[in-house]
Amino acid sequence: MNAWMTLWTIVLAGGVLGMVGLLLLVTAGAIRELKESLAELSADVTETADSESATS
Amino acid sequence: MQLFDTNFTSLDWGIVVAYLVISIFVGIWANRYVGNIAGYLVAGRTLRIRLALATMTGTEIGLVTVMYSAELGFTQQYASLYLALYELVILLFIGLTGVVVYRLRQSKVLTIPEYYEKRYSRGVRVLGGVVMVMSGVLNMGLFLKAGALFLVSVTGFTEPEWLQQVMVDTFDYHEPVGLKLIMTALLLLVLFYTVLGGMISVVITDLIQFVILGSAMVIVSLFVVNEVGIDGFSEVVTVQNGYFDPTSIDNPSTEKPDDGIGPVTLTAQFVVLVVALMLWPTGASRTLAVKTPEIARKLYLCSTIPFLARRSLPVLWGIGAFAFFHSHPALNEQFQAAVQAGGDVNTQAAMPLFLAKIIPSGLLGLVTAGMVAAFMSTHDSYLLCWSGVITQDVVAPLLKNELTNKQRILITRVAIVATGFMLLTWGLWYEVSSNLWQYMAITGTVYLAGVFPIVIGGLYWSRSSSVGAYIALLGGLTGILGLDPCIKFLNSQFVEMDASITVDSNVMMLMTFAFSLLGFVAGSLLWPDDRPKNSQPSTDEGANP
Repeated sequence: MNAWMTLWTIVLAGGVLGMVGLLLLVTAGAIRELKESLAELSADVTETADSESATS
Repeated sequence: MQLFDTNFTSLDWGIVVAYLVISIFVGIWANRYVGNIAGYLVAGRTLRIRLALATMTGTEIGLVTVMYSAELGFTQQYASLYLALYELVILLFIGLTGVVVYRLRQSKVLTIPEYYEKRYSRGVRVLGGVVMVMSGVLNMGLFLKAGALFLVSVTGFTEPEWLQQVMVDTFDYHEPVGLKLIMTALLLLVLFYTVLGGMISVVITDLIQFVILGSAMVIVSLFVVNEVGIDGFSEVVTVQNGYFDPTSIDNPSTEKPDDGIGPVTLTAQFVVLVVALMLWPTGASRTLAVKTPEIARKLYLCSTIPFLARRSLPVLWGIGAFAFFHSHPALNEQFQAAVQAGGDVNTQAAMPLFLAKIIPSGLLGLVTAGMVAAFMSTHDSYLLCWSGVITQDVVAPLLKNELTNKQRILITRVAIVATGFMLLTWGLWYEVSSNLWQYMAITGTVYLAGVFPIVIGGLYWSRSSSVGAYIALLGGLTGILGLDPCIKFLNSQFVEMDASITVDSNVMMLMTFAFSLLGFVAGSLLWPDDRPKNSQPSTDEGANP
């Protein structure tokens, strides 16, 4: 196996292992952060509705 | 075994349909969180690192990425992995230094053209917006076709006879319509929920898609390795003349001379990827949507892993397809004959045709749902990005009256639908004769060649001027000359002139970047702006890398 093939094997293995790691590490945290973002957006929607009704 | 044999059954259709129904439901549900234009376009800038990473992965691993990477794996085998290596190195550099992306997020703009106005002038913003949308829509032009080709190949879909009869009787149309119908159905689906929910529905569906797609990619890779075997992957090089050295211009797996990668392609692709990873609008929209500049930098650092996966895993499947077809000579003969026939089958179909034979029913449905997810997550983000630019950077600056939030959201939704139908028309009409990735790189260059000097000059060079920016933007338009029909026309003109010159798309891309950069520098030096502009963003969110 020459240097190119060694490099490509590392890249391919890195891709597979990286994706597995990403799924394990990110998923739970991302769901929690989505809930927090939606809570903030809900507050924004209420504020926007209030200001639009005040100006009309 | 026949070429279009597949393990796809009604169970798999059920899984795919169930997924699509859930996506539509999410689009409707997310509509309640749309209060203003910032909520619609950048989810109110509420994204934190894990959510941003998951959604960026959902966007960047599109079905089109999977298709062009697998196509390169099939046609150029291991050598095509140089693109994965480039992305890894470039993202690590950006993530470690924060170069460009940190300051861009500090500028607190919603879109790249908005930065053009802040740093240069309103005219630069409008022209920049038009160039960006033109490049982006051209770039997306073949997404629908690639997605439909995947579905047709993996499901073994053939149009029913009654439909063929209706097309002949009613429209006197004798060509196959199956691929076109699937393209239209996919477009309508994406339009539906992108129009409804904006970035909020995109973020939620991207998160679901990240989980489904990521799992599907790992499972498929295991099946491919199991099917081909470690020895089979070695034989690609030792027995089947596979291509593994990208610095060599000759691809040993084909009979044509000099049809490999080589130094010019390596240089052109490096330039394209450096700028694209920093400033491609859909990626930049994630940078601009995160909470702080520091998260923007970290997002790039963490993105090295999904970007490595998005390139390398589909290449693995493409190499697997190459090994599989070469170890089944009769099947390979059928495939080559179908490609030569010039119908809907091309080298992009090799990977889905391969997967359709090795993944068992049930799992194939899950994988296909993952790929449809990949298609939708890219399409929705791209549609939202271009239509957001039309609203914020073209229509709004041209109108004297201030638009309300409701009007802006309405214009964005109209622009999404209009863009969608332009894509359908282009996808049905344009026939790509080079590989799909090359088409993406060329069309991307139209925007990238201009944005590179304008943004980097704006952030780091105080003498950057509006005239320089106009020249850079217009210079980027020469990138269109890299498309196949233009290259053929140019070379035919050189032959007629007896000039011993030929150009190819890689040379044209490099020339476009050079032209825009030199034009920007010359224009800025010769015609400086009268008034000093705010080149440095506020430093209230940390130090400037």
